[in-house]
Formats: sequence, structure tokens, C-alpha cells
Amino acid sequence: MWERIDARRLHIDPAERRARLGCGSAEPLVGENECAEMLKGAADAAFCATRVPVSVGNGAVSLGGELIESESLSRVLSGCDEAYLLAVTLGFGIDRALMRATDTYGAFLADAISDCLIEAAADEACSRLECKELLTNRFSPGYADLDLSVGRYIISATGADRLLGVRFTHSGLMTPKKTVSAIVGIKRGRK
Amino acid sequence: MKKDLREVLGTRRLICDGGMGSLLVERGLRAGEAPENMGMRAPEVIESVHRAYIEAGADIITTNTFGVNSLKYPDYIDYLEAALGAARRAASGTGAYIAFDVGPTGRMLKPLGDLDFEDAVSVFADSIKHAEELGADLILIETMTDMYETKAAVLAARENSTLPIFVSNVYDESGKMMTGATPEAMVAMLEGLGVAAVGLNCSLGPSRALPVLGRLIDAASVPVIFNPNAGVPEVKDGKTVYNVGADEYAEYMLRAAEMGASVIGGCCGTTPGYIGASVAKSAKIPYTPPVLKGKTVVSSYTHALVIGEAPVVVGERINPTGKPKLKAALREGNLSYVLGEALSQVDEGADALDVNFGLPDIDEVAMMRRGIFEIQSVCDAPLQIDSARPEVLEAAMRIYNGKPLVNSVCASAESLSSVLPLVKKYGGVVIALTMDENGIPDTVDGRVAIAERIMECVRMYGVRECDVVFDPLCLTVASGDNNARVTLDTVRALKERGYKCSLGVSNVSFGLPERDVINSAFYTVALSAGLDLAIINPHSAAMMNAHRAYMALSGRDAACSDYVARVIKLGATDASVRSQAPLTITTLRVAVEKGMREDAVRLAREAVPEKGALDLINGEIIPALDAVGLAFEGGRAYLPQLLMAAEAASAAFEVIKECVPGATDNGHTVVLATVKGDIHDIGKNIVKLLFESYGYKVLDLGRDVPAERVADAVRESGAEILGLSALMTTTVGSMADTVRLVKRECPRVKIIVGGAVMTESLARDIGADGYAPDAIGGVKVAADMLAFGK
Repeated sequence: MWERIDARRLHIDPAERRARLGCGSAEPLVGENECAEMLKGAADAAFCATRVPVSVGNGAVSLGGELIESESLSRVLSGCDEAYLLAVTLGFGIDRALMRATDTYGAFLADAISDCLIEAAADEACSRLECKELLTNRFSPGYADLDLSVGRYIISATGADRLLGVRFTHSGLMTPKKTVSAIVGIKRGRK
Repeated sequence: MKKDLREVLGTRRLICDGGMGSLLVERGLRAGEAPENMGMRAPEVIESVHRAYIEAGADIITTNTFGVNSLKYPDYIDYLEAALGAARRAASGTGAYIAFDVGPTGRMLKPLGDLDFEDAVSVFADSIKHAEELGADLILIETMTDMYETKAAVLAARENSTLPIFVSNVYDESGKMMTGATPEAMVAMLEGLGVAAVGLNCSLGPSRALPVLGRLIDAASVPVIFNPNAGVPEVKDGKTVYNVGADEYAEYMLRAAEMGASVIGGCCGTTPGYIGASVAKSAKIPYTPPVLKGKTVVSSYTHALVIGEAPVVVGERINPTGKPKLKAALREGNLSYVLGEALSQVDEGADALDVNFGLPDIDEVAMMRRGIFEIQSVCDAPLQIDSARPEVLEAAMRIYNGKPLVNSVCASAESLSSVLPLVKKYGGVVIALTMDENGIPDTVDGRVAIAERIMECVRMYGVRECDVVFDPLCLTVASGDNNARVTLDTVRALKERGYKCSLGVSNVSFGLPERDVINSAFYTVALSAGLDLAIINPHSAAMMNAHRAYMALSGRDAACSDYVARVIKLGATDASVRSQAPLTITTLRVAVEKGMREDAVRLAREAVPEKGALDLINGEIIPALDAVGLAFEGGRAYLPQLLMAAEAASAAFEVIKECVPGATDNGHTVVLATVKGDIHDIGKNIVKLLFESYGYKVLDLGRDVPAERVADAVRESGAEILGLSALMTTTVGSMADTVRLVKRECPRVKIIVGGAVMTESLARDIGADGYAPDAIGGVKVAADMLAFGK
């Protein structure tokens, strides 16, 4: 499954915004609205996902044939026979936009808002997953004891390397920078 | 005996093979196993796939080397030998050509990733240098999603092989590559680099790829390749399947043949059945050879810029001549000023930017290389590389992401023999000055004769005529009444011969008062004479008004929309200035506390003569920063407010520094770096801003910095404080290594660590002297350390 996401229609969650900006006020900061519009224009958001069989046991999960040791993921996927592997990105336009920020305040603002946007894009992607069953929350490599290296498997299995251009740095970070890889469990039984 | 591919290409349609992976799955590829590994354990299977494609009608088979490179496999040569062996055996006696398949490295190049451009060239070269001896007939660089990585691969192929180079990229349905390049931009760069064929593969299936094929054919003078996927992949019953069947696929190949594709084949999901059906369908369509376009085109990493359609404005401001601030910035190695100039010129309407770093007391090669890289990190306008030194031009042309303007060559033998080979190798549109060893001729005929001499050499070196723009040179009217007329008449004469023309417009008024009056009038007349490209100052309202007025008057500005937009923009600016007229901020301290940058600058400028630098710093700026810092720690202010205050303080410091050099320096030096392996630097940049706003001299080493470089910088600068940042758990080890090395090499420096992944106990464990939970904490810890040290 591969789909584009119209970044201009993404809605930033107020709680996410407060957390990312470290700011208690609901009033927009100086330049915040303009920055958000600029970033939405620069984004080339898209996601890809693939549905894989799941089996859980002994603190490990078999995910589409890949054995992943993780107590926390085992808990998230208990009661699931299948899961979606998900990769979502805002694209390289955002990376360029972040580099263009000419002062530290602007750079901070752009970074925080693009963090909000990728979360919103991931929420949007989850809402589009074709599924008659209930889904678990997204669980990403790096959460709790789920190793970051699992991200490589998700990117490869979803085809995000080809379809979204996602690559890894030498130290295992994803590019484009605002990219999320995640596992979403599909619970037994209908919605 | 098969003909050399170069003799065949462009004379008939060639058929490429299709996908490899899905066929290998059917033939026993294990789950998670890379196709190249199957090639090592079962080369006969790879050979059978090649044979199947040849039997289906493929003229070109692609080696099973897509995923093989020296980054992934230390024993990559064994893989290459196995893959080429299988291809040779299959092709033997059939007349099929063997394409040596080169895929992406798997890493993104800087600045978007962490792989250095020259390292990427080396990785590609490691493999490509074996292609010819192992029996390949061509190099196929394919499935590239990034223009810069594509250039690295093509350069490696040019420097390590004599085989023809085919390049095929991945485009999305918006018609762009993942990193933003359009088909036209790719064609400009790749033809400049001398590739034999360009095209697309993979992507989103043939229906969505056809519009991109049309654009490639419209832009390219070389044959175009069309090898799309069999649709979008989906997983059904545990298997990857594609939604376009062989017959439907063949219909699209028929369309591609009708449109003028020279090489057709397939990518993921296609099989010999698809290729066979495509051969049958397209056979009845007569071959259409590519047409020479003859357009003068440069490009950035996103878009192409055609010279000769509408007048092109090249911003002239990144040139140290007569600009003391730029000179000072270059001598300090500070490129922030340059980046600001780049962005502001584009904002004012420049289509491209001239870049000249010619200062006698700096390393021009190193500065040009760094400058081009940094400018291209933030600005997507095509660049004009400007230097009198061929080695500087080469350094920049090599790493430039796109096809640059090259400024310049003249008719002297030395210039022609040193610059034209660079244009031939790296691609570019060269500005050719109508002058030689004897200077600039006084007459139109003299300058045109030089232009013709240059053009003869251009042909001799194999550079395309359309890649030359003549600058007939403009001397000041202050020194000769006929100077402008001769230049304008030369423009007309060159245009009559079908050549493109450029001018450095402002030279015409050198030595006169109110130069913009003369410049803008001359510019308008030159445009009327046919000028294609002007190197001007985009910040000059007179020049840009002349430009926009000409565009409107010559019918190049539909409904005068750009002209009107410009007038509205100027009006809005005036209105905003008026709305800010009632000033409420009356002291520098309040301006800094409130984060009012413009007010801080104004008030600092007003107060320095009366109060003096030290009183302003210690009496207003530092107390204001302390107050915001305390509010931040107490939860009454947030990071954005802290940053705005620090920005305002830094801006005020700049003003004070201009008035009283050295006054803002607190005498302490801090080295900052994000450790090796970590490409996040927003936190480190915030720390830098805070330190600077407190008057520290900050040496910022950037991100992804090796431990050795950190130690060298601390030793050479004599810094008392080193700040290290790491965001990811994967880079804590790198942080520990850096601390260990610096402690050993520079035991007197105090090391403060921070970043999302760090804690106080972890800082202690790795041997750091201090831990800072945030930026203001870093400044306080540093101040405590320095006070204790005293």
C-alpha cells in the first residue's frame, strides 16, 4: 500500500504542539503560523504499509517471518494475528526547509513544527489503513526495548526505500529526517 | 560478432530485460536473501533468468549486481565475477549486450545524509573499474532517487571505464525525484556529463510514468530509456504482486515506442512474458531517433533554467570585490553571511547566483568547495561558478549538484585549453569573454571575430555550441563615449549569428555618480538588443524594476502578474514599516528580554556612543539574558522566548562589535560539536546561540564530527570549554570515544555534555566534567567551571 498525504490538510494536535515547542501558551508564537504554512508547502508527505502475520511468545515476536526480541512489542501485539508495518515521511523538501532556517529561533520553530507534522501524517496514515478490525497504537523502533535496527526491516519490508526514498545513515538514523517507521497491531475481532 | 553498442544506439529501438527479484523468488530465493547472494550460491539460476529474457527478445541483459558495492560487501569483487560470469555465459553467441548494473549505495549523500560525495564516487568506482574487464558492454546506473548520488556514479563511470553510460532514475507521479529534481534538470546534468542515454525505471507503474517519459523526450538530445515497474507492489497471501499484467504492460510499451522511447524494458514485477509481449506490440512502430534540442540549459538539484527564452538574472552579490563584510566573513571562514546573500538575492528575483571567492589571502579552492556545498544546502537556484583559476573551477564543478554556469573562458590559448576540457568532463554552460591575450577589441567586428575563434575551439574540444554564452564585455562610458554602443552592437551581431549573450551590466557606469540610473537604462537597451543573461544586483530596485518592466512590455509577463505582484509587495513593505512606527520599547534591556530583535539593534546603535560598549553589555544585555534565563528555569518563560532573547542579544552584540571591535568578547573560547554519527544539531545550535549571546567566542564544528577533529580544534584554539551533543542512543558510544580522546590529548579542557540521550550519571560514567540538561544550563555550568578554575 502506497499513498500520498496532502500536508496542507494536516491538523497539528495542540498537545503535541505544546510538547514540541515547550510552550504553555495556546497563542501562536512569533512566526509560528507562517512557519507551519511554509513547512506544509515544502512537505512531500507519503506513506507505505504492508500487512504481515504475527505470532507472539517468549518475549519475542515473529513479524512477517522476522523474529524480533522485545518484551514491550510482545505486550503491544498480544491478541494480534496480523500487524501493519508502516513507514511515513514528510520527504526531503522538509529537510531542505530545515536547513534554510537562518537563525536559531527559526530553526527551533521549524524543527518543532515539522515534528508535529510528521506525527499528524502518521495519524493520517493509520486512519487510512484498510482494516475491519481494531488497531493498536503505533509502536516505533526506539520505544522501550524495541531496537532501532528494527526500523531497517520495516523500511525494507514496506518498500519505503524505493517508494519513499528512505535511507539510513551510518549510525542508523533515517533520512528524510522527518520519517516514522512503526508497527500497528491488528486486534482479533471486528471493530 | 556484435556491433559496439554506440554504433547501434539511436539507430533502432533496443529492448532491455525486466525484473530479477520476483523471478528469483520463483526459483528458490530465500526469505530475506539478497538476489546477489543467490547469485553466489546458484549462478546457474541467474544465467537461466538472463537466457529467458534473451529468448523473450531482450537486446540488453542486466547483471545481478544491483545491490553489490564495497560498502555492503568487503568481497564485492567475488560477487561481480559471479554475476558477470552468469551474464557472459547467457549472452554468449546471442548478440545480447551486457549492462553492468549499478544501484544506489544505500546511503544518502550529504547534506541530506551522511555520505560524503567523494566517498560515494569511490564506492561506485570500486565496482565500475572491473566492469569492462569482466565483459560488460555498458554501465547502467539505475533506480537512483537522488540527483547527487547519480552524479557521483556517473563521474565514477567516466573516470574508470570507457563504456557507454546509461542512467535511469526514479520519479514520482508529480514528475520529480525523491530529492526534488525534475526530468529536465536531470537531462541537463546528465547530458553535460556525457551519458549515452537517460531515462526512468521503477517508479509507480507505466501509466503514471508515461507523462515523465514525455518530458524526458522533450528535453533530451540523447536516447531515452523507459523501464517502469509492473504497477505498484502489493502483498497478497504473503506474496508481492503487481497490478499491471503483461498484456496491459505491452500496451503502455506501445505508447512509449510511439512517443519516441529508444530503449524499452521493465523493472520490478516484470518478467520475460512482459518483455516478450512488449516486443511483439512495439515491433510495428517505426523507430524515432532522438532529436538534437540545442537548448542552452543549466540546472540546480531541483530545476532546469533555460537561457534564451526569457532574460535570466544572475545575482552578483557573492563576490568579495568591494564588499568588506563579505571579505571579513570569508577570512573568518564564516559562511552565514554568504548564505544570507544567496537567499535574499533569490527572494528579490535572481534566477541564478554568481559565486566568486577570489581573495588573495584565503584558500580559494577550499572555500569555493565549501561555499558551493553550503549554498546548495539551502538554496536551489542554479549557480554560476566564477573564478580566474581553473583549479577552483574544477573543484566546484566536480561537487556541484546539477549543471552550472561557468564564469569564464576567454580566447587566450591558456584559458581555452584549461577551461574547455572541464566543461567537456563535468558539463556546464560556459561564459565566453570576447577578449584574448591582446585585450578587448574596440570594434564590433573585432569582438565577433574572437567569438568565432572561441566557437571553433569549443567544437574542437567536443563541447556543444549551445553550452556557450558570449559576454561581449562592457566598458564604462566614463572612459569612452562609444563603449556602450559597441557592446550593444556586438550583442546584436552575436544574436544574429544565433549565439546567446551575457553581460556584467554594472561595469558600464564605473566611475560615475548615481550608477543605477545609467545601469538600469543600459540594461533595458541591452535587453532590447537581445541580451539573454545579465549579471546584476537584485537588491537594486532600479535594476529589478527595469527587468520587470521589460518583461511586461515584451509580453513575457502574462497579464503583468509578476510586475503587479512586485508593486504590491513593495507597497506591503511600506505599510508594515508604517505600522511599526509607534515604538514602545525604549531600553535595550527590555528589547532583549522581550526578544525584539529589530528594536535591540536600533537601541544598541543609538546607545553605544553615549553609554559605551561595556556598560551596555554588563548593564543591559547580560542582565536581560539572566532575567529570561531565570524565568526559563522557573517555568515562567519557555524555550522560544529564551531563543528570541538570545537572538536579540546577538544582534545587539553585532552592532556593538561594529562600533567597538573586541568589546563583546568575554575572553573565553568554547568549542561545540555534535559527535560522530549524529546528524542532529538543533540543540547544539541553541547552545551556541546562548554562549555567543553571553560574549563567548564559539568555535562550532558542526554535526557528525569525528573525535580526532574535536581534539584538534580544542588543541589549536586553546579552548577552556568543550560542549558535546548527542541525540541518539546509537551515538552515546561515539560521545564516550570523543570524551576519552580529548581527555587524553587536551587534559586541561573542561567537557560539558548534553542532548536528549544524556543524563547526569551517564555523563559521569563516560568521564565528562559536567552535564547540561539544556542550553541555559550549559552556560551556567561553563561559568561555574571557569570561576572555579580561577
